[in-house]
Amino acid sequence: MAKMQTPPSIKTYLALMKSMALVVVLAGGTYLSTGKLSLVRENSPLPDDPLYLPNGNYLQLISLDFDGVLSDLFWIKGALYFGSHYRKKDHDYKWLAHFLDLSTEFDPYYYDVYWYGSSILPSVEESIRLLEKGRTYFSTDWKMTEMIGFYYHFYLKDYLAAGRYYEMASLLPGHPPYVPSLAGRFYTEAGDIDSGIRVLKNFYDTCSKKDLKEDFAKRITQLEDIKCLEEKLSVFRKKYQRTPRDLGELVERGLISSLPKEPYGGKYLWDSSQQRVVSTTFPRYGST
Amino acid sequence: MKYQPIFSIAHMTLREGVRNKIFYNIVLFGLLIIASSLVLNKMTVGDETKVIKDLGLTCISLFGLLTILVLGTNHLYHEFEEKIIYTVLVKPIVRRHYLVGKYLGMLSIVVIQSAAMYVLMEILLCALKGMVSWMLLKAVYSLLLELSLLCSLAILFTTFMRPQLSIITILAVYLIGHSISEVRMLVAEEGSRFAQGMIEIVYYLFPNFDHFDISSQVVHNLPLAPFYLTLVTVYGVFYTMIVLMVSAQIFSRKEF
Amino acid sequence: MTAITIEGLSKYYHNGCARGKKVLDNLTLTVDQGEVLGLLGPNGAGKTTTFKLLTGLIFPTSGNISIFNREITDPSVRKLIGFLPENPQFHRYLTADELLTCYGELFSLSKNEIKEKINYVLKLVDLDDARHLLLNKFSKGMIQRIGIAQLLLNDPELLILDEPLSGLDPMGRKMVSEMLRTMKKKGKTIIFSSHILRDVESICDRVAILVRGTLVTVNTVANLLHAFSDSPVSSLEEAFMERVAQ
Repeated sequence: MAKMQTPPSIKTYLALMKSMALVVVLAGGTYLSTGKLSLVRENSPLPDDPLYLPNGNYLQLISLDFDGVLSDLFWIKGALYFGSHYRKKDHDYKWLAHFLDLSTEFDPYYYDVYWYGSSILPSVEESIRLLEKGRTYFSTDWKMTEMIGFYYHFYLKDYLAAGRYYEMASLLPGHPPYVPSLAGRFYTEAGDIDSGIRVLKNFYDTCSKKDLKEDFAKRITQLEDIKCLEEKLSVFRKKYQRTPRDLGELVERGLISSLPKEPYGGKYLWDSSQQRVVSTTFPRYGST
Repeated sequence: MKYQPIFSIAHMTLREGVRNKIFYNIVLFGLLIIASSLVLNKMTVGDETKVIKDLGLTCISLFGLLTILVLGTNHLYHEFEEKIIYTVLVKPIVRRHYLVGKYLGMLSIVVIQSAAMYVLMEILLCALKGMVSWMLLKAVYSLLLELSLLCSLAILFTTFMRPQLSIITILAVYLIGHSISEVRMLVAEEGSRFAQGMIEIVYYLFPNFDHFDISSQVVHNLPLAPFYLTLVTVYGVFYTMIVLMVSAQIFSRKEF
Repeated sequence: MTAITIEGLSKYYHNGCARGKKVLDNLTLTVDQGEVLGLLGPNGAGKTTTFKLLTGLIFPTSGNISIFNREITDPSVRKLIGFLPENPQFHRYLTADELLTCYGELFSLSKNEIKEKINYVLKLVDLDDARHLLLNKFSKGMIQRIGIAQLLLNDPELLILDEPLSGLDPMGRKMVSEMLRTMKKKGKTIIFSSHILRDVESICDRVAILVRGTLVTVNTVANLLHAFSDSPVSSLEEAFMERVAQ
């Protein structure tokens, strides 16, 4: 200031002390109120629908160039929403599908949202719906299609639908051998052996690896044997108005010359509880 | 009166601000968007008033921020750079009184703008439901506390930064302030102790703008926690005062 | 009484850790009450820096300044000062009347006093008709005149003007010169800088010449003109050129 050399007076010190006291009071008040407000907000039953969020199509109109950022934001929001409810253990995830939907509306090629998002959605139907949406954009991605098949098989026990999705996945590049194998199995579980054989034969025809071909040949043989035995069983039922006591009776009655040799070293049996021909190697059709 | 200079500067700032064409454009645009909620709410099912309330409160918040960024930072910087401040500071006015006057002037501009938007919201709600929503006033009050804090930050940064840098800094603080609660929650679950410690420091140091957001409660007619508005007023006012005190210190040493 | 006392005033602008640029070096100067001092020097001599230090817009690196034997930070001193910076700028979206009203309020004048003073100064600078016009509509000459108006609003004892005549047409320069003479007659203390040395010669009691931040001379105009006995000069302009060249 103007006079550089004069030592500060008592008045200056008092003014400084007053300012410091004020700063301490203000800082203390700010700190305490922050803590209290945090507690209040954590304990308040706030509704979760942050802002009104209509259909993503309408939001698209005002998103300008920020689609990517908005997609990220909604994905993050969705993940945090999931996390907060998971922590509270209240199993209330009603807005989660909406967040993931919005995220993928803004960026339909955001793979992670479909992949991870589908695994945290509360209902299988919502997971399948999200993955179906993803399939339209990732049409060559076998994993998404296979995952839908998994949901149908594991949770919904809809083996026909599972078989269909596994078959679709088996037609996409890069899939591992278990995909068509499971397709065949699920079709057979659903009672559609013909489709099962078709899927396995398709893979057999296009496969170039010798050991895989051998394995699939066995699977195809097994299913064809089961199909043949079941056809013979139908003939037997029609003729004798009853089911045979065992498959040996088909041989006795001359419907077949001999029981086919089970390719995995097991035996074919008639399972009266399931009313199906099964193999001892796979108690249910193609099941391991 | 000892503090007359503060009010003179505030009055002068307010006059200048409301005559600025940028201010009119911002207010008009905000009012248009609120008016458009009459159309947007047709896309909803259920409570028609929710869109008006949500959009209106968002406009008050966003356009308030816009005014502070565009008018606030540039106005003050312009006074420094164009040397308009020379003839003011030479008058019998303490520097910190000048700064507080500028702050109050800017805040008045934001209050007038927000009031216009609030009145329009109530008119639309009245037209739809035939009643005035007093809860909305609480949300607007809370938003004004947030905007007053942002105003003080604009003053702080403009005392030693160019407008472009001020704007970026304010936006950064705004974004941090709105996301720090969620980050804190995440880190509390998953983070290391060091990270938790750092986040706690940032949480208490940075302004936490989420505290001012009571739109959800207001829009859904949920009760506020007791003394919530009092707490948030204490927080907003105290923090603003700290920022202004720091600004005054910097400004008192500023050379022109 | 001494109006302005400057002792050993220096101003350096620091660049990071380096000592930086010397703008004013050990300036010592006094101005008596009622005196008119012209502060001259080439561009970059430190004239504006001196005025800014006097008005508290910047702070000295070392040295003392007092005005009417009081600290310049003393608010009571500010009531006695009027300052007109070089190429003044004012709030664009205010009218002349509003600007002067605000400035009047800063002097803690009553409403009536403010009104009276505004009427007086606006008449003085011939801007009465334009009092309700927004300042962004003012011409350069009108801005300079409003500058004079705000300078005189509080009837200051000390007038500080930085290049008050620059950029003005001859009519404008005449108005300012006459205003300075009037204030001089009223016994006001004036310190101003100008490149129009003819006016300085006719108005000033003393002239101080700054060159590169250093005071090279301070003397009456008459003494300066006769300082060069080897080659007598007939005008201040010539004396100034000689001094600066030395």
